[in-house]
Amino acid sequence: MKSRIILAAIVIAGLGGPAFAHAFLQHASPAAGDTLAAAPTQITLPFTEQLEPSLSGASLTDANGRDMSVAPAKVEGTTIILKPKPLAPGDYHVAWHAVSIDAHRTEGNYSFTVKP
Amino acid sequence: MIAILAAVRAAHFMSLMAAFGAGAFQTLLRRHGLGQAPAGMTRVFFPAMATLGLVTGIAWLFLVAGQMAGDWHAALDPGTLKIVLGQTEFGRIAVGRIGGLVLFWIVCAGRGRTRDPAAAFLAALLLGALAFTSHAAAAEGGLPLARAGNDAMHLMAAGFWVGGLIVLGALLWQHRSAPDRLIAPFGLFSRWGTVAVALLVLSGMTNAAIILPLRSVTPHNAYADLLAVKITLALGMIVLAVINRQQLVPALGKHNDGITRQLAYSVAVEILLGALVIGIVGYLGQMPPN
Repeated sequence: MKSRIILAAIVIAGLGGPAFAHAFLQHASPAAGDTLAAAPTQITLPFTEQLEPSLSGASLTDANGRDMSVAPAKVEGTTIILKPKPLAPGDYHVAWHAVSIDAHRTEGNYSFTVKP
Repeated sequence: MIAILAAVRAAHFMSLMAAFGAGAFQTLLRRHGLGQAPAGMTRVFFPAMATLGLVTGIAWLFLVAGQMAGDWHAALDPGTLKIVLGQTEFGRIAVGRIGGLVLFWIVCAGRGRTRDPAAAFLAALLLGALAFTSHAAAAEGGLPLARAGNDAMHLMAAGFWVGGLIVLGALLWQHRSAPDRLIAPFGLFSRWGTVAVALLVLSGMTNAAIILPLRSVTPHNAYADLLAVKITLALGMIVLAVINRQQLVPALGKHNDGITRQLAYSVAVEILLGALVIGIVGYLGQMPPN
């Protein structure tokens, strides 16, 4: 009986762990408000959950609202990846939307700066 | 729209859980030779639950398509629906579930002896498939099948409780002038109900551990607050069930008409509390847990 209780406790403990159930942005690279000495070659947006690739994405625009990505964002597992064009010094805006596999949608945006 | 989506979700859960519980308890009653709920009631109840399940299942798919696209107008956009149905986990499961809901409707519209167990079996499968698009299944961590299975067990245990109570309510009406005939069905429900409540509590605690780690609970966590309301209502159901089992059902043998009426009120309140709990579940599924 005691061993069954211990086994049940292990199973329950194993089921736990980090859990969010809506996809939230964890730590973007570059991060919100960053001022970079060199232009980034990739925007990486890792989320807390598996994403639906067909309904998740991101965009990168400059201060004039021009699209600065070379191709549509790629979604790999829990991460959205965006390849930017060569970025001149200035302010840039990242807008993202993420749909988790439990069908919930989250979205957000932030800015970073490339120094002259 | 979120409120409509939550209400549709709750109605869908309610229809399948009630059909599962009623079908399973009717099957148990037949196996033990303890009679059945009135045929007139079940001829209406099962098709009504199947129709509600099918209509809300389809409505849920359209509404979720709008939610996923971030635009409620997209709920009726063929392009969006094509992407949701063909390229998302929710859509792929929804396609299978709608086929299952049609089969469920056909089974529930029947009148043979196999209707009740078949309806319970299909409702269990349809509830189980729902668990694969739940918060618990989507949460990070290992053992996704075990997490979805635990969620499915939670839904089925709650369904047995609520659906079984609906059958008991029908039996109370049928045998209102012959309380002796209620003792055995209530005794059977008590035995199986105890197992269902134990599974419900265990799977609920496991679900909470998966979805809501203690470190994510903050003083202003609306999800945790609503979960606490749900647990309080469920505890109210448990208290009523204990009173029924320990006091009212044993008194049935004494041919006290007042006891039958008290039992009927108690079962009605338990069903109402169960409906409120399922209504809250509809909202919880739309809220971020942290």
